[in-house]
Amino acid sequence: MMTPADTRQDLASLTALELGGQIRRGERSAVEVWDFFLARMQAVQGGYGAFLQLFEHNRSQAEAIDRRVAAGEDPGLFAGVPVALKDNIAYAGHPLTCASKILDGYVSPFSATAVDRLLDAGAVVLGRTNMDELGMGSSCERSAYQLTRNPWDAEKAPGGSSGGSAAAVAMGLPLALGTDTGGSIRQPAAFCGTVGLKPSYGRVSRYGLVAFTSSTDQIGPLTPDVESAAAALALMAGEDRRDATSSPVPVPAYLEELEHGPDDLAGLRIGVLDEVDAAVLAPDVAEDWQQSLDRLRAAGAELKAVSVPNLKASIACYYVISNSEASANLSRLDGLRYGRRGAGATLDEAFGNSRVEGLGDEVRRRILLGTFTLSSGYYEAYYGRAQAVRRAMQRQLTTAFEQVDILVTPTSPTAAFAIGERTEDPLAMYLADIFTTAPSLAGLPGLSVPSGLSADGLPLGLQILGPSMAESVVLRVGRIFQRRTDFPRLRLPELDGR
Amino acid sequence: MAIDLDDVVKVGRLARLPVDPESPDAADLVERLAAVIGYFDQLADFEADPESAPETAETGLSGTDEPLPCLDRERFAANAPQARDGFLVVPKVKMTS
Repeated sequence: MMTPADTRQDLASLTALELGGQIRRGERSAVEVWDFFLARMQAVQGGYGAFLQLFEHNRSQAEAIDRRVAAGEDPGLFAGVPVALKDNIAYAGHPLTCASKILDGYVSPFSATAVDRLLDAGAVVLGRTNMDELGMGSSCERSAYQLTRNPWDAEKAPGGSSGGSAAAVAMGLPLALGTDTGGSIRQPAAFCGTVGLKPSYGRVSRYGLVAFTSSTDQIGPLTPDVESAAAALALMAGEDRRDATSSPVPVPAYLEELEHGPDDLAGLRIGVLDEVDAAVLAPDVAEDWQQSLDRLRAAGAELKAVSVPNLKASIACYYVISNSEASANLSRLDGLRYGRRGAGATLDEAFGNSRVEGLGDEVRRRILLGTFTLSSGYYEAYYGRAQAVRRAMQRQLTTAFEQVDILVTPTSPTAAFAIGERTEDPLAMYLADIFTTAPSLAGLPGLSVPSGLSADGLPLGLQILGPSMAESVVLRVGRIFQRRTDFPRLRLPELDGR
Repeated sequence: MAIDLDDVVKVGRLARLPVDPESPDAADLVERLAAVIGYFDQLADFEADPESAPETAETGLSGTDEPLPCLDRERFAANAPQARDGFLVVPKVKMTS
């Protein structure tokens, strides 16, 4: 017989698809699920700080889902599923700050298309998750508001910038949205032991996403399981006339493809990059990486060595381009139309004071760097060169995908690092993104799936990459890999017992 | 390629992030920026394709080009630090002497 504690743990271990299914069939009420997850996330908020706000008033949305089920309606695949939103994705009538003081007090007048599409499928927004300010960070330590801790070890960073979303899912939440510009979904997913999917560039509308690096930004799901990530992508993806960069390429039925697809990787060619040199991997990551390759081989895949020499330039390339684009995108944060305004007798003074007072150190440094690399005399040497190196990298990746169907790498060269360990050394922080920035620059889909534990018991992830718009095969490999990986579920002592 | 204090002050002006050259933090800022820019210099060592090529996946909207309702003035102004009669209130563009 199940004890109340077992029942609680049982709810926290259900996936978004399982919860949505139970609510749609009337086996469990949306309100019960809402109350459970609200209480659970409140209980761990003090210890881990995943959320910036919890929207208690949205219980009425869960009640509305229950009324629809009672009336014989189908509210959708994610009926009553609580979802957390990273603080840079618009949700009408609710605060949005990008974890920056400069947007303090800003309220979204509209919702992102991705959010609307999840709400149309019955999801209910539980709250807003913490992030590095304006997406600029790989550890969630750059939030202007609070620190988020890794649920696997509170002294470690959860990764970033979508660290709050990854931490919330690690603590049992079935679904969160993050955004990924150079690894900001995949790296925190790996650090926190969750699945994280960055869709291809253009696959999901960015309408309602606060722009950071417009040539790479994407919205994507973090979940405990590959199937729910596939279902969330299918709901969110597709053309949106409010985002001219959204792709008209038809959206496959990702979930159905998984359900009816093969259960092994026979006939699939998986590329292993020469550039994933054991020298750049922590010893326990190198060991886990070899085990992951063995698992893929055992599932029937043919492993082939391929080379993308410019991968080794990807961090420099990415940071030149992302800082340059950010310096332009964030020029609108000037205290004129929204957010915090600094004092000043003239417009110029007010602009300067608003930005110096409202933006954190890392954001200011990146804007200065981006302005420098776009400035006269330096543009060709930095921005122009980075774009040319990027084009060569895209060509090398295209050549690699002529030889293989999929590429794999470790998601990050180390497990989660200690809070404070890298904040004074930006170059050390950037290295966490060594395997995630190249696919972002090339617009490729990338999935991080938990692969094992480090020597210290911290999660590690495998990154699975495909050609542009080839999410179907990426998800297939991810699902089979996850099914063949014995990855432990996190138990929080304060909630689940030891 | 090095960056010095004069460059940082100039870039700060362009970025509307004024840098006070007399500030005790100015030297540290220059040093941090110089370290990152030094790291960027490695781009010269990698293969580069100079020709102009699409930088992202092909995209393009289908359908007709029709105007859609946009955010109304009142809701837009609700987020402004200062607004009056549907207009933004801002400091003078330039002080008159």
